[in-house]
Amino acid sequence: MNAQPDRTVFAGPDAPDPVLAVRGVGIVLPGLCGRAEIAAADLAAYAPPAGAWFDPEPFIGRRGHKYFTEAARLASAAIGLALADGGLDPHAASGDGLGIALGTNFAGHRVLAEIERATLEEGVAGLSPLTAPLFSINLSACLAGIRSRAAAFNVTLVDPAVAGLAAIVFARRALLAGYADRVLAGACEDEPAAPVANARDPSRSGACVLALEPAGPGEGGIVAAVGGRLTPAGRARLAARLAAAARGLRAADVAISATALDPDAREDLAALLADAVRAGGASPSRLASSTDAGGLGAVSPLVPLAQCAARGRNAVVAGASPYGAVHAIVLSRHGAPA
Amino acid sequence: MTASAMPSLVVSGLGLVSPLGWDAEAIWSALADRGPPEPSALGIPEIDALPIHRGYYLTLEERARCAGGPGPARASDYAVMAARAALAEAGIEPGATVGVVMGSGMGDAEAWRVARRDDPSRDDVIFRTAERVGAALDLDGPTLEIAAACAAGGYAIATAAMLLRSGEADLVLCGGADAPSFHALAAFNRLGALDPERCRPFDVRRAGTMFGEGAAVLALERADAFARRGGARAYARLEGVGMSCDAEHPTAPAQDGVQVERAARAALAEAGIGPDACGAVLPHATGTQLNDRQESAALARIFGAEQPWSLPLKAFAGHGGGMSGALSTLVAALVLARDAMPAAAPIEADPDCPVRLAPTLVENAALGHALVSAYAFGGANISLVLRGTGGHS
Repeated sequence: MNAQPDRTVFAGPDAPDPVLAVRGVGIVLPGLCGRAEIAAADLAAYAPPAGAWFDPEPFIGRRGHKYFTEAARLASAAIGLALADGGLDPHAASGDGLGIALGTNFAGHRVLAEIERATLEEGVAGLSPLTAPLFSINLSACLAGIRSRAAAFNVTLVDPAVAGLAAIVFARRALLAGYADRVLAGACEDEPAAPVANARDPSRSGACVLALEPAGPGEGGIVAAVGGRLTPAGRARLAARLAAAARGLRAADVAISATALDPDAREDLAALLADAVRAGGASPSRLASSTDAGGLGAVSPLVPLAQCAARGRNAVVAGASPYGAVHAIVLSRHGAPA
Repeated sequence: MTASAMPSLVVSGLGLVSPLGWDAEAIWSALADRGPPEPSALGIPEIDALPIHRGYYLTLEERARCAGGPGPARASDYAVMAARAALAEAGIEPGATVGVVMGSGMGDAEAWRVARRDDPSRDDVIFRTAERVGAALDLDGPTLEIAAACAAGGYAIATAAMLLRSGEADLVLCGGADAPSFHALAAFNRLGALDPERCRPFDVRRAGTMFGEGAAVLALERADAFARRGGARAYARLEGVGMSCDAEHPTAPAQDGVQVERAARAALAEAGIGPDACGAVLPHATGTQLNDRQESAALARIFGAEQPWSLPLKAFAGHGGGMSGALSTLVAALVLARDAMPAAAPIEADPDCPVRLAPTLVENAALGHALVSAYAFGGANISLVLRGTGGHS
């Protein structure tokens, strides 16, 4: 039997969960870097410049990342920004209480293509033993985690299109269950090996990381995370739970953001979010972002999430996968829902 | 940081696709009545051309039985078949919210490779195992997929436990699925991490691991909800989770084993038991020099002179990547349900690996609890503690 009775964090769907504070925002995208820039950005007009764009040296120095994927360098840079933004000492932040949860869809794809080419042309001796381990998609988060000495856990989420939101979901649950004191959660992407099928615009690399911790009294942050699939019953359940979360915000206006590759699916999701917010007694205002079409892979839905966190907005930020899986994160600027 | 007590969760259904068998009876018979199978070639020309390529694989006919669509999307094919079986056995009522959390190391990397061979001008995602389960079974609940390499299946089960704790779902189908990929096998060849003979955990002659494949899925639900719906037959209870990360090296386990030990002790603590209450261990036991030495040393520190029975499963099933932690959990549930420990594969024991292996089937073993562990590239560690219910036999 268990040694202790269940705590309130296990009370079930009708009881509000504790709030997670977003202590730091770290974002590294083409032409868009750091809290101040994401807070000020007009995301609807955001157009990443073409070509190579990321110089890791100002973020993580010149050495120690030669055999990283670009996604690992970007994740390391975003982690550094998130910690600095929160005024968190990266050394004091290390250790058994620090966890990492990152989503990705394309990290290491170019390495896979190179492993295949080299092996077929030269045999396995043609592979570098230093880059061969990068076949495993979790290595990008792990390499970033090694730099941060994050020993609570290091988990990579890979759900199509919504892996970044899934990473926030994992981080939230792990913090509330007591498996970490602080989690660096977000997403990182390499440039894919080729343009992505079904994506409207060219995919690009980037990373976004939030430093999450249990909130203090009255502090704002992530108050709910709702997941489900867009079956008829799933839609009803998502709508009811999001409405309850929106009602708890006690806000007049709530920003909504919907990310999905397919335009119809995106509008359908936005309508679901808007209806839920209205049912919760608030007025929805659509936050449009050029990343709504998923062009930044798993990072895409985190761009509006990071902006809402940086601006301290009440918001419901959601994404849908091509298979109909949805994750939605609810942000409150004023702390725990009533 | 204090992990709080976990509400008791029950394993109410099992689903399996494995060269060892396709259901609980079959895999138990394979473990209890037969010795380890012989490794074989996969039957995929590019993979069979790699220097070390044999493994514990399904037959071509078995793979064809799982195929859910065009292309070699084997991991997600296996996951759908195993998840369907687990859900059917759990027998949950219509209208319940069923979630999915799957772990995979390589996803459908072979399907990705073949698609790009045919059209290199396009890229696409590799992982859609959980998504395919959710879509194929028309589920309503949350869907998550974890790629924590060889610990992915264990992390998937731990994540399912967290979702159930918070009331996000009434039941979660959770586990792991993987199929050998050209990329992973090529890299393991280059890293010298494969044994050309067989997978021989804790054997002084061990020379690396050997790949396996398949899917293992558990239907997991809260014990109180299971009892309310009149569920009577549960295999085991999941009572403890422990996570950690070495955060030290991209591929090699930390030799001090501190984080491996911390994860195991955390899982025991969350279950509210001491090491002496644990009668069975399903170790990660890959057959690599470093893993087996470090893991057995950690077990010795935890359990001392009174070692519980260990069952190094990869001697029978190979290393199923992201599936392996889930397969170990599934077998732990069976071991507890039958209160019996199958004989380990015969080995020439490594004196540096002080584990206790059953020479023959041990029945009426009074096992109590079982500790399951899985470790991965990047230093990801996960331990789970299960307790028997006596519900299945």
